[in-house]
Amino acid sequence: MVADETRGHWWPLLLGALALAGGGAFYLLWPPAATPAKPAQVESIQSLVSPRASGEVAPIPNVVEVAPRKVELGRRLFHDKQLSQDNSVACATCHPLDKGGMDGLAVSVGIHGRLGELNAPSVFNSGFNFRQFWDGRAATLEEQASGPLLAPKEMGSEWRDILAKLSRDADYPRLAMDAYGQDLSPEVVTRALADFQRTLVTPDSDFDRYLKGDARALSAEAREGWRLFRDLGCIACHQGVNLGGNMYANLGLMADFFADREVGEADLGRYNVTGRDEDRHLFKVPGLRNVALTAPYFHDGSIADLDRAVEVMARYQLGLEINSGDRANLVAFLGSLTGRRVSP
Amino acid sequence: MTPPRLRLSLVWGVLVLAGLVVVVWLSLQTRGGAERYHAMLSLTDVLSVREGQLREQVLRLRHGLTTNYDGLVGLVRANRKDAGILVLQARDGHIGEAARAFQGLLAQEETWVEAFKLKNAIVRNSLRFFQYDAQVLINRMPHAPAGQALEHDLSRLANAVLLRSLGGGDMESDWERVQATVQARVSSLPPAMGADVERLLRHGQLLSRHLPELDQVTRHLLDSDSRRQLVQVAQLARAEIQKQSTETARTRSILALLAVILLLMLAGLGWRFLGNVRQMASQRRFLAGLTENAGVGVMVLDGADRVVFANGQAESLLGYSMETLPTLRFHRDIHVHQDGSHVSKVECEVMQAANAGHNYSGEQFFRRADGQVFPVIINSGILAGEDMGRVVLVFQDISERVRSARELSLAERLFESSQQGVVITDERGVIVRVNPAYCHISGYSEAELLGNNPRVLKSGLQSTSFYAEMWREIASRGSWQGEMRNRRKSGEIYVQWLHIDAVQAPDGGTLYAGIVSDITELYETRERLSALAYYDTLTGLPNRALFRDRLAQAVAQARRENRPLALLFTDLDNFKGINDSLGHAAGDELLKEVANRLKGCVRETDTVARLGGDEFALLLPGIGQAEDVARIANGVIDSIAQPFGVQGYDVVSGGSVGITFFPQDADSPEQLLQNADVAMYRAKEQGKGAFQFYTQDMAQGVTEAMRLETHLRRALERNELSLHYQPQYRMGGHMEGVEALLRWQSAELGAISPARFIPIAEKCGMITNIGDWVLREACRQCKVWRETCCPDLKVAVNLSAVQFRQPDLADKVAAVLAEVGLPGTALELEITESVVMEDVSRGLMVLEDLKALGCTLAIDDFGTGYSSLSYLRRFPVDVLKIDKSFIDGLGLDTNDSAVVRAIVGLASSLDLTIVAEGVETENQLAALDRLRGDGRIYAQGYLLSRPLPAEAFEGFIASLRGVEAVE
Repeated sequence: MVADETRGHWWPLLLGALALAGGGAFYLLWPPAATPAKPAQVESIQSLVSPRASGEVAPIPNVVEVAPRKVELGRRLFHDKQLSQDNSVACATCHPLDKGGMDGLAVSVGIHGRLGELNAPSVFNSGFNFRQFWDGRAATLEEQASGPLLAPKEMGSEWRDILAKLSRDADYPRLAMDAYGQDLSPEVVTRALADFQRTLVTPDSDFDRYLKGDARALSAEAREGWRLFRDLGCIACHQGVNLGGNMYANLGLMADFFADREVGEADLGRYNVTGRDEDRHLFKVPGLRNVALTAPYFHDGSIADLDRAVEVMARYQLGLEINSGDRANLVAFLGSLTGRRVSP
Repeated sequence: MTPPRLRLSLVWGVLVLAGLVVVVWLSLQTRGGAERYHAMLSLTDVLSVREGQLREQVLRLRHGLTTNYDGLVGLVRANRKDAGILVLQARDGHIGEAARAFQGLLAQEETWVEAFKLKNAIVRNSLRFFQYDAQVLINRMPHAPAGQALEHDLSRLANAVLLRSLGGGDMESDWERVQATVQARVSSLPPAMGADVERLLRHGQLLSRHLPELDQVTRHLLDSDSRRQLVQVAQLARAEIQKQSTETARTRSILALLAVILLLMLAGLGWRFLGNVRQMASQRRFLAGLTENAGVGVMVLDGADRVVFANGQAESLLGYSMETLPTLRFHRDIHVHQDGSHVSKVECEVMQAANAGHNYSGEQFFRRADGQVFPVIINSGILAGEDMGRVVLVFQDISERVRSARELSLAERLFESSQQGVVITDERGVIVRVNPAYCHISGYSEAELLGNNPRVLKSGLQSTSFYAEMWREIASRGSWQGEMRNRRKSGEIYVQWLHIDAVQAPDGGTLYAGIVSDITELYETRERLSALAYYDTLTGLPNRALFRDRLAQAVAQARRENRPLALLFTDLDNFKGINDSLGHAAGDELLKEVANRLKGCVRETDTVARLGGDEFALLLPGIGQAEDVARIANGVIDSIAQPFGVQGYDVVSGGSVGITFFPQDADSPEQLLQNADVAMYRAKEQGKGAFQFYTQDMAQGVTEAMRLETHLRRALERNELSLHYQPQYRMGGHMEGVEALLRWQSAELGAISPARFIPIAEKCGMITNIGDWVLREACRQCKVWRETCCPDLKVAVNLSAVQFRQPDLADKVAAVLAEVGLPGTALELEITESVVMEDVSRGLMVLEDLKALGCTLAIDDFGTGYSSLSYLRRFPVDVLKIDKSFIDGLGLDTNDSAVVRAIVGLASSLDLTIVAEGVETENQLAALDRLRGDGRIYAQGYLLSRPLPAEAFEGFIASLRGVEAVE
């Protein structure tokens, strides 16, 4: 009599219609828009220095911004002897942060008392270097970090052992997760070490303050030394924020440095990397920041003091014999490059 | 519902859902992909820009425009990194190869860059040597022929080098030859010079080798294919994006097609559904037409207890709509017992009758959709034929009938048991009903009252006009209520609260219903209390009289027991304002709330009293420690500072507290009251929301103020007041005006600063007289000077807050101007910001009146008050005077300079003139001059001239003239 059987069961249709309308709106209102990605961030520390900086040198920036959690992880790793094969050597062993960032030895002592072949460079301001190691074989601090860890004469470890030791630690897995959102891995360890080292800058040296306009920050001797440094030609290679560390140069340009020396493999410099003849005795020009604290000098640590280093450099690189007065002024100038944070 | 139909609906639903899944899947498919290539595109842009920068760096370095490699190193490093990212994003295929090729080119470039840096350093150093040292060396050559020849060769060599370095010449070919000859001659030179020549040769050697190489590597870098390769990568990326968007378009077409099909399916289904609905509706209309006019509910139940039909009346009685009816089950949803519990089908009398083949007729209960249960009369019948097994119910709602029967008895019960007396009379005043309470109150029995007039109770204490007024009100408004004194049967007078209503009787006539409460006792209590007059009727707190009494007792007791006591005074900060703006009712409400809060601040045993107005006092026996009282005072201040909810407004008040102690501050109640009052006023002066202990100094301060006041009253008569005039200079121009400043040289007290006596004058009302005098005197003096020496001179006069509040201020100023004969344009009136802001709308009016007189209006001490710029715009103000405190910091590197700069900027945008007060140093003046721009700035201060007495000012003008004459 009354046909209401069709009622009550039309809801799947309504639901379908609604869902379809919703889906359609979703699709039409949110088409796959062409979203250009942001340009990749330039994380290089070098970007802190203006590419147009036309002066020969520039002051060290006061701060380098790195997330504190990354720095903290890096700091712990840097001081942790577990990174070496027999738990006897940490990064900080050869690069003590209270002594200018290097150990003061001609060549450093690794595990089991093994001697290295080259003079340990300072870790301070190393983030400004264009490449790492004397022969520049590492392009970044990250690449560099694994070098000493795995070198048999230095820390002699293997990644498997390092990660096993660190994973057993109460803190490291959590710190790694906090800092990089990842579990411990070779990449995390080297990134943390590199990030930490980027923060090791030593601003506010007398020379920096002089550059920023405080003429009295330099003594008369140091000022004269700075004039000589430019006039004699040192500045040709030792320029930039680190006064060096941004190019390779031949050791013995004006005279043969190795003439009366026995040449070892380490003396070949970049040749060991490229195998090209023209790269023989080519070394990264070391930065001169805090140079007064990082004796002995040269790639082999063969020069004991700054006065002698200045004398030798002038002779072989510039073809000059510099008198002791000028040398003293140059040494005074080099002394003014010691940053506040590392001054003993 | 037939099962096949259900299955069909489900199939449709599943189909639609499946279609939807496909839609979503397809739309997700069209996302992603392209984004990677967009990212690559922007990366190639960045890389391309950096490659350009790299070339620029190389050129700058090569030509000595840039002298360090940091920039170049940074670019190389960044590009190396981004190229890595590019390769990762490109993955494989053509675009991957292209990206890797680019990376390879970059690696090649990096090698060139390293060579470039080294050779460039060597070349620049050796060139520098040639440019400076070589010439010195050449000039030092011995004059011997050998030396001459050497000098010649060396000069040639040096020139060739320099030429070469500039991009021309051919140094290399010369070099071989000259080198040999020079080498041969070196031995003839002194050893030191020989070494120098050797060095020169070595540099030359380096140059001859590295210069060509440097040029070559520079060319390599400039010509590197890297950017072309980047363009190729970008093209490939664009092609990929194009491809993706084609795919997207295709997917979208499929999607659209699918959507259309789904919609068509839906439409078909909808059409079917509508057909069914239409068919059913027409059947229903037919049935409804049959049953609607019967005025009863009709329902048809099928064998499964479903309601298969209901007419409109049934729907409205049951509260269900037509759509929900099919889902109903009669015995689940509708048929209930009186208490709302279900009647099961088995026990249902209607069903029992139907099963037995009978019709049913009787009362049952139904439940409405909203849960309400109501009684119905049901007549049921059984349908035959096709609809076999169906029962038709015809029902009627009888709740109205049941309810009126019940309500009648309820009213009767209330009437009988009410504590209030009820009396009902007819139109003529004859009593027709009374209740027992009325009998009890009046003392008469029901029998004695019925048929009588309530007049029998008359006490004779109300006048006949009282009754006339009462009846008039009943006639006009239908009711009356009020107090009335009547006499009981016993002869005793009683007070009743009587409420009379005129009520429409069922027969159309009027009845009068009186409701009576006996309030005799209440009345007596109230009388007694008000007779005592010790309590504040509004707040219920002790009043001033009782408080004095309590204080006297407390002091006496404290003295006896050798204990301290503390007395606190407080009043509200802006009570008058609240009263004026929100009305007295609001004020009363506020006071009540304050009283409550104050009571909450102290112990039960302490006394809180309202002394009158908004003044409250707290008496705290036994408390003598300043810290304790301070805590309580803070509590009081905090509690008053909380917002009050008054008549729907959030009212914020606040109060200050004055505190005094017995016995150390005073010994007598009177003195304590006075002390607390003084302390409270001192607290107010300190700023609102503070408390202050009474101290001896305060007494002195009070007497000092009183002494000043006494002398000040005589100062005007004694001619002790005078005006000094401080010149105002236009920056980059001349003196154009003076500010009149008030001075008081008292015969007894010496010179007294305005800062000291003006507040006192304001407090004691003297300020009006003094202000009038200042205005007149300044105008008079200005008029004199305009006639004698300075025709365009303007005079600025300060108006105090009290003056500004005078309602007749503008008239007064006009009168003075007319009396003195000074044009309004020569008068500048200075008002502080806060005074104008006190009452913005009134302030605006006053300012406009003054403006109409031609006066210039200046805001004094600008920057220290509200600085409410929105108002400033609305006020007809011409001048802003910047407070001295800002000018002090001007010329130094301080915030003040910024503030002044901001004010000047503001002024020039509003076309206002600036007057800088208190200019004391050349520095400040110079700074002002720099700020001048195109705005009008005036300066005033000791640097230019201190304020001068009238006669000294004339001398000053004369000296100015002298200077100008000399100039």
